Amino acid sequence: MRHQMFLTIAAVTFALALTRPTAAADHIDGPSTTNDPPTDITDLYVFPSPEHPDRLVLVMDIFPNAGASAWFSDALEYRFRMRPVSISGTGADASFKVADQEIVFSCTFTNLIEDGDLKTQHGSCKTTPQGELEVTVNQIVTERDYSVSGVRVFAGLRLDPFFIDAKGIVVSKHTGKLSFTGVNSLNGLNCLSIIFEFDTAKFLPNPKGMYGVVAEIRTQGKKPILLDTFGRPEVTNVILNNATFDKSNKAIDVRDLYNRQDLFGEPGAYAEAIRSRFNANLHRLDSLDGNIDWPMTDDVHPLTNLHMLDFTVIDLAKPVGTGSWFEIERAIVIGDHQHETGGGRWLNDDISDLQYTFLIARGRENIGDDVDQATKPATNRFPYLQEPLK
Amino acid sequence: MAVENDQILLNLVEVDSSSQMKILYRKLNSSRRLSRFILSLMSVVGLTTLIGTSVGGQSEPLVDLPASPQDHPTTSAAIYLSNLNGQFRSARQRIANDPNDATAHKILSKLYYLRGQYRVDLDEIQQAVAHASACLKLEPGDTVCLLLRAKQQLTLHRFELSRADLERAKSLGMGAKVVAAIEADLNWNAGRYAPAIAAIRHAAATHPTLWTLARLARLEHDLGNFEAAQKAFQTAEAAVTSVDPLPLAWLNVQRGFHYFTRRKLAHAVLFYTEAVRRLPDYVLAREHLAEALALQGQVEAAVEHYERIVSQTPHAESLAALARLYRRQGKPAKADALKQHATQRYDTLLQSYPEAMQWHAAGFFLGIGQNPERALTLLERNVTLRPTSESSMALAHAQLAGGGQVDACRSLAQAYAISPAPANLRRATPELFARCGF
Repeated sequence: MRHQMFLTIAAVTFALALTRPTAAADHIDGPSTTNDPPTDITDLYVFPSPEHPDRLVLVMDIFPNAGASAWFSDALEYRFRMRPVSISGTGADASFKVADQEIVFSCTFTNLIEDGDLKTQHGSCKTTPQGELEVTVNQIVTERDYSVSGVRVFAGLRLDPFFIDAKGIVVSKHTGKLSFTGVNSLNGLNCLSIIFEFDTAKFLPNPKGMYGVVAEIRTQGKKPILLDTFGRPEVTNVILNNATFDKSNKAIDVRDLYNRQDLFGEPGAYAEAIRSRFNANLHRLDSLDGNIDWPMTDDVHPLTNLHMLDFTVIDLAKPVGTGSWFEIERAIVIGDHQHETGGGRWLNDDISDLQYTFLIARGRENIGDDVDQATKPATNRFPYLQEPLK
Repeated sequence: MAVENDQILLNLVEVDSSSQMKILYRKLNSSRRLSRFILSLMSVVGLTTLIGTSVGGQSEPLVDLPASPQDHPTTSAAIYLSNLNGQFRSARQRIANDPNDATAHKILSKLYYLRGQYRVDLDEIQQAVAHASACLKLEPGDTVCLLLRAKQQLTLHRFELSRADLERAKSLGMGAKVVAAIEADLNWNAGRYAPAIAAIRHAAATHPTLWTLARLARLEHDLGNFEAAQKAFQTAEAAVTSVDPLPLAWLNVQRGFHYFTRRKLAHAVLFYTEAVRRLPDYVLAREHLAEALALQGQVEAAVEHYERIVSQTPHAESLAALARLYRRQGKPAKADALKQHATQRYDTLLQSYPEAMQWHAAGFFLGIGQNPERALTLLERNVTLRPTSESSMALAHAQLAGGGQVDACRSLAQAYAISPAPANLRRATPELFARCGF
């Protein structure tokens, strides 16, 4: 008798597929990752080390609103992938050519080791093709470790460095008018971070070359499943979210499909659905200031092809700093000048303002969300992200 | 050939003694492929023929094993729980800093709901309701909080409140697809089977996820379509890509239960064990494992499982079951103390959550709780709350046990009249139908 009861309670109500309240960068950027936050890549940053310009830093943030303590899953592999890229077109044909050669930095983690209240987690991080190093979660490695391997890694809880008025952009897209509130949706929230800092001369085929970088989380086990990817910020939440304006598909949330694509691979089975969503939503964003700065041709938005190539581009021959994010792409789309910076993505870059200014106003006027910094701005000292709030 | 071999193995598992079963399970758990390999070897040496002959008569057309950790790794329980607790601390801190933080109430509502299900703790579900209500007081039009509360009220069997939240969410634009699962189960619990069944089938066909497919599987199980249920469960498992251990553990409990109700205890133990392996303190999984083991005669093992549960939480069913097993072990003092504890616990729960607990408590009072009159009253209330075939059948059994054959036959007729699978009902309880003469 009891079991009749059990069935009605348990199976009926266990479905947890509810939308989380805030969505930013790639925070909470699809039904699957929303239901399993530790598998959600929230951000990717790529910048030369402020302490040592001959080194490159890769930062992957995971687990939005991670809480006062958080640990990495022992069932996942966290990876950065880098490939040499080159500019293959400008203006309306703006694009990049991606080489096959790949450099991979990855980490896996153990189960917790518990000794009373003390919890410890270890990680094994690999650099392909160079080697492997062990890390202890939340422990900052020293320069001495670096001198041995040419790489240092931090993995652990930090204060989320991203900042955005998430509610503002959602309301803006919904109403068709810019409606920012100036409130940072991520204020005071923590995340898990994996930070690789490495000697470019040692690990990259060309230490002054141009590279595309993506972050990935995939399952371990016999058949790894890609659970989340990240190329550029705000692709899923600001651009792809919301099916209202998509003429060919108003039913499916394409973000899960997008998150499970190989961003360096050939277009997947859902490429056309994703392309259609880009066309519709880039156009919607463009219209938010009352002007159309990016006219469509046959329902195709001029920035769609560029966005279908989703990776963070960094040119190691040029300087990277505040405001340089997406500068390479902006330059090749506008087509009247060479890019001046190395692009990449520095921790304190105001991504939202840069993105809105370009997508909504084609750079002709500054459009911002009045949220101009994180809870605490990042520092110039490894591991660069601020300590978490407890 | 592999399927035939696996079939024979499953038959062996079903009829075996516990030691044989454990050995085989260890092998099976290492991987499905390995199990097929072992079976191939057995076939080569002629064992399968022998086994097949010895257990003839059972038929299970499909291989049905839980995904192994190698097939589908999930995050360890220690990490999972530590992360959950960290999220709790963070959300509570936000509310301490700003009691009017609607987002923090929303997060906390979801966390309490999650942990309430993990611990089978209705007080935590009630906490979830309280935070969803706080969220709605601050943001009356928040459809996510409305939907959260609708689910939570459904869990507590407050069907009218659940439906009210659902209707409000719909009026605020929440899509049909999003509310379909709750609506289907509200209909099911109201005895409106036809729309519920149509919605469950439609959801699984158009939006195949773990949840919609598992719900379909349970529907097929309830309708007596066991092969279809088994297939749907397998498809549901294949739909799981997350490394979150709770969904897969929950699914394994459902699959174990699918076999348990058919008295295929070894099958049930396979799935329950896998659920416990992934989440050792998932109360639902351990409790069901203990129950199946007890029925298999593995009383000491069952006692250990129940003792672990009650050392962590005053789970009423486990308290009652442990009392029964202590009595069986010749430990009357311990049994009586636990029975008293269980009675108090049921009283408390009935006071706080009468709708959710009356059916559970009736089972206790019909058995070791030794208060069949109270059980009958509770089951009568349950039929009023949930006018379903299942409720009427439960009442019929209780009435019959109390000597009220006329009343029992009336309840049986009621159940039969509205059942979505009357033939299945007759197959499941032929003796009751015979006594009532139809």
